[in-house]
Amino acid sequence: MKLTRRELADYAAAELVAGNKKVVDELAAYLVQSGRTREANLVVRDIESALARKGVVVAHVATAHTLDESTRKSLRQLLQQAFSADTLHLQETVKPELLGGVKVAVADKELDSTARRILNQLKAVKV
Amino acid sequence: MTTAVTGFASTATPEGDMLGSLGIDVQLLVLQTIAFLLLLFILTRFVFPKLNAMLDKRDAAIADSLKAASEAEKNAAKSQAAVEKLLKDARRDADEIVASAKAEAGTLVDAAEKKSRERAEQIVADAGAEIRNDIEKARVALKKETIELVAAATEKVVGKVVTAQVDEKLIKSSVDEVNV
Amino acid sequence: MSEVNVAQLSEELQAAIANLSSGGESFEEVGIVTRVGDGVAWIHGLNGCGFNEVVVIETKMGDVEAFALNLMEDEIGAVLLDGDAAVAAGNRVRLKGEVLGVPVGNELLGRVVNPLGQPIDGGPEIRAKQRGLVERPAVGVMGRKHVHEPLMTGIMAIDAMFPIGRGQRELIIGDRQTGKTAIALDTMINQAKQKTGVVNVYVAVGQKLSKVARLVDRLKQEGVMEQTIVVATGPSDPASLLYLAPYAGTAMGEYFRDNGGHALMIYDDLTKHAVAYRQMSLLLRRPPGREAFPGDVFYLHSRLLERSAKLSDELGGGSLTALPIIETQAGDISAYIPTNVISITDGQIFMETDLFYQGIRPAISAGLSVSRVGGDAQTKAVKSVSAQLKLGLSQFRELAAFAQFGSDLDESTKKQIERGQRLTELLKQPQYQPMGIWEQVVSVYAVNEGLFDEVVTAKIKDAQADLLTRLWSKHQKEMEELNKGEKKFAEYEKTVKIVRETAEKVAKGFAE
Repeated sequence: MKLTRRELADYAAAELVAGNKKVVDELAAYLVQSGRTREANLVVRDIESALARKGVVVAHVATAHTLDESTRKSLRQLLQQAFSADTLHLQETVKPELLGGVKVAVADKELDSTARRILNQLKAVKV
Repeated sequence: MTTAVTGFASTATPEGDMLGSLGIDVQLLVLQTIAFLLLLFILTRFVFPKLNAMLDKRDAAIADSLKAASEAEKNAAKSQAAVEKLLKDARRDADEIVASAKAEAGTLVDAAEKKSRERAEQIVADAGAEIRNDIEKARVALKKETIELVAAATEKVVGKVVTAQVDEKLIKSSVDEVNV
Repeated sequence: MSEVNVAQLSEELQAAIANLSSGGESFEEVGIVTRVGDGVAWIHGLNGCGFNEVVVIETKMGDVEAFALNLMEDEIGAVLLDGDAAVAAGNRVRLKGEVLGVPVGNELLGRVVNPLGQPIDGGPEIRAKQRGLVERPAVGVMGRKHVHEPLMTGIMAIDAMFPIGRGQRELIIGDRQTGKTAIALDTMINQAKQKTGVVNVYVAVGQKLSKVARLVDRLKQEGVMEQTIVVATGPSDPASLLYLAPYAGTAMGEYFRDNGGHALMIYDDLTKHAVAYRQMSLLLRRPPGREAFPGDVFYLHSRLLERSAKLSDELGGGSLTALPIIETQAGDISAYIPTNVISITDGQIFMETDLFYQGIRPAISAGLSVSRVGGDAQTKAVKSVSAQLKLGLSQFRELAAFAQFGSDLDESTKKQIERGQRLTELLKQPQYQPMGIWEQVVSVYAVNEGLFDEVVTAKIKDAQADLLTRLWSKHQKEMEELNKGEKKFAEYEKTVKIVRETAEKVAKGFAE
C-alpha cells in the first residue's frame, strides 16, 4: 500500500513538533527506498502545510528590497493573526523584479501585493 | 317434226271443213298444246320457283345493303361527334396543363429571382460585416499595443521611483489592507 | 462602429486599469503543476478546489484555464481547456472561484462559437449579459409538462409517421453517409421557413471543420443563420472541448427554454462525444469498462439529454427539443453506446444504408423507427390523413418480397403492393426542401385516397409537384388556412372537395 504524501507529511510534522529531528532522515530514507525521490519538493510543501496546521508557520517572504525591522515586525504580526501561529519562521529573499510590495507564501497559500503582479494583470487585460 | 306435222296436214285436208280451211290441224294443235302445257308444267315446277327465289334473294340483298348503308352513315355521324367531343376535351385539358406548367414555371422563375436577389443582398451584407470585423480587429490590436506600452513604461518608472523607503511604506500599507 | 474612436479607447483603458485589483486583500490558495501531458495537468495543492471548478494556470505565455475532474488525496487532475504546449511543470495554479460557464443570450444568435463561448467565425467578441452553467441539474418532475406541441421537421416521412414534439428527445441513428445530418439540417431550415420562432443550436462534436463551414454557408443561404447558434469543435481540438461542447450548447439552449421560448438542440454526433470522454477518462487513469469506456458513460449522455424538456406553464411553458445523432457501425444498433442512447431518448429515426442506395431518400426505416410521443405532438390535420400511412407501408413491406417474385397475386395483394410503392415514392424528398403542413396533408391525402392510383409510380413526384402548384396558384387562401392545421382534414369540407377535383385532373395528365 503506497503511503500518500499527506500521510507522510502529517507523520513527519507531528514528529517535528514533538522535537524528533531524526524523522527527516527517516523520511529521506523512505523516499529513496520507495523510489519517490522526485516527490521530495512536494513532500516538503506538504510538511509545511501540516506544520502550519499545528501552529508552526514557515513563511517565504520575497521583496524588491531588503526588509527593515519595522516592516518585518508588521509582517510577523499579520502572519500571527492570519495563521494563529505559535512559532513563526520567516525566510526572506530579495527579488528586484518584483519592483515593490511584498509576496508572502505560507504552505499552499499566498499573498501577493507586488507591483509586478499588478503589471502582469494589466498585460493580461482582456481586450 | 315439221315434216311430220305437214304430213299430217296433207292427209287431213280432204275431210277438211272449217278447221282445215283455217289451217289449224287439230291433232297438231292438241299435240302442240300438250307440248306447251308440258313445258309450262316443267317451267312452273322447276324453273320459275328457282328463278323467283333468286330474284327475291337479290331483292332482299339489295334492301339489306341499303339499310346497312344508311346505318353506317348514322354511326359515322355519331362517332364523328364523339371524336369531336374527345378532341375538345383533350384540347381543354392540354390548355390547362399548359397553363399550370406556365404558372409553375412562373413561380420557379420568381423563386429563382428572389433567391438570387437575396443572395446578392447577403453578399453585400457579408462584405459590410467583414469591414466592421476588420475595424474591430484593428481596434483590439491597438488596445493591446497600448496596454503593453503602458505596462512597459510603468515598469521602468516604478523601478526608478520605488526606493527602499518607499517600498517600506508600500509594504506597510498593503499589510494593513489584508483582511484576515 | 465605423471608425476607431480614440477617446472611447482611452476611456476603456482607464476603466480596465481602475479595475485592476491590488491583489493584497487576502491569502489565496495556490497550487503547482507537478506533471502535464496529453491534455491533463496534475496539480499539487489547492486543497479547497471543488469538482468541475475552473483553475487558472499561470504560464509564460499567459493564463491557461483547466477544470478539475479528478480530486484525489495527493493531487488534482485538471483537464486543460487549451493546448498543453504552454503549460510546464512548476507553474503556479490558482482557483478562479467559479464553475465552468458560457455566455448565453440573444447575442449568440447567428454566431459560430467554441464551447467556451469564444467566437470562431472571425467576428467580434461576444459580450453577453448573462452566463449559463455548463453543468446544471435537469428540471424536476413538477417543473415539467407533457409534450403536446408539434415540432415540424418539414420532412413528410417524419411528420406523418414519427412526429416530433417540442420537448421530446428523438435520436437519429444510422451508419455513416446515410443522411443523418441532412435531416437535422432540413429541420433547422424548416423552422425558418415556417417562421416557428424556434431557435436552433447546432453542436458539432469533432466534425470536420470543412463540413461545419459548408453547413454554416447553407444555413446563411437559406436565411436560417439569424436564429441559429453553432457550437463547433473540430477533430483536432482537445478532447476536453469535445467533451464540453454538448453541455455548453445545452446551456445556451436553456437560456431560451427558461425564458418562455423554444429551442432545438442538435448534437452531431454523440458517438464522437463518447469517444472523447473515453480518451479523457483513460488519461485521467480512471478504470476502463466495456469497450474501454468509463463506467459513467451512460450518465454522460443521460444528464445531457434530461435537460431537454417541456416546462410547465408556471415556469414559462418554454421547451428544449433534442435531436441527438449517433453513428453506428454496419447497422449494429445493439452496440454499447447506441443502446445507451436509445434507452434515454423518446424514440429514434433509423436511417438504413440499403434504402439510401435504392434511392429512397430520406432513408428512413419505417419498421425500426418510432416516436414514443406520437399523436399528441402531431398537427391535427396531418394526423387525420396519415393514420393509414404507417399501416399501409408496413403491410407493403411484408408483401414486398412477393412483389419481387412476380408470382401470380390476387387483386387485393396487388393493390396493396402498388399502393405501398406509390407511398414510398411519395415520401422521397429532396434535400433543403422542407414541406409545410398543407403540402404534406394534401400529398398524403391524394395518394392514400387512391386519387393517384392511375399515375405511373415513377411520376408520382411530378404529379405531386403539379398538384401543389395548381392548388397554391388557384386556391392560395384555402391552403393558407389549411397550413394552420388546427382541425382534422375532413372538417375543411370545401378544401377537401377542391383537393379531390384538382387531384383527379392531375392524375389524368399523368396517367399511364
